[in-house]
Amino acid sequence: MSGGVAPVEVERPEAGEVVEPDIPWIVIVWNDPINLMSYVTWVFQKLFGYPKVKAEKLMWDVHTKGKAVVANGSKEECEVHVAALHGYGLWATMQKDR
Amino acid sequence: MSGLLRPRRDGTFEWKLGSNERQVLSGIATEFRSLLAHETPASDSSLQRVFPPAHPDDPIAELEYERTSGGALLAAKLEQLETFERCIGQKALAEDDVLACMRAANDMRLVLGTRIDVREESRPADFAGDPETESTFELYAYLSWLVESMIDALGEPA
Repeated sequence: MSGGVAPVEVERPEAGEVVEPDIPWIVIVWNDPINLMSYVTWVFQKLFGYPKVKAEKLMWDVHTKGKAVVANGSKEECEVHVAALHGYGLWATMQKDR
Repeated sequence: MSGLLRPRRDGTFEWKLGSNERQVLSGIATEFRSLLAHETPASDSSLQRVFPPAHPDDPIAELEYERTSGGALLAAKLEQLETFERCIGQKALAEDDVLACMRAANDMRLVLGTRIDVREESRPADFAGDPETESTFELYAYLSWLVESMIDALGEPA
């Protein structure tokens, strides 16, 4: 029995062309000695809507481990998060979640 | 110092500042405005914490971030500083004013703390001896107390 479906034309990458998989991005907040712990916790609650327990856990991760991943998503979403964190004076960066 | 921010039933905040506090806050705000207007993180390292890089390991992505977000971030910081300057002379603040003042006060802490090289292990005694460093640390500590009092007054974020 032959199907009535036409063959699909597949676009093949050119030789040598690197195809980037759709890797999500992460937002990292880094420890710094100036921002108050209470302030960092409050900002995590305000910007991400995290419950206080989760915000405090992330703040302690930042403080004791040097950094914490506080959000993830598309590049555009993470850029919005980073800009908002910079607006509050937190040391935030973003990178692909490799 | 007797600065105090207290929530009121109508949703605003009672804001008590002594004349000396108003003078001190006005002075640091004017200095910060001048810094934002004339310097960049490249020309004055005390601004590096106010405008940290989003892509420290990718110069091209960082340029793109600065192009798309840098102007808006500077404009937002100038606007919240303007709110801070306006609020110094007021006795009652709206919640949005408190938020803007808190961000502005924290930015000024970042500048002062960077200037005197505040570290995790720093103690007040570390900043004693040199009058300018002592004075900067006192201002930094006062702004820290101010930010703490704003967090207390605001309570849990909505």
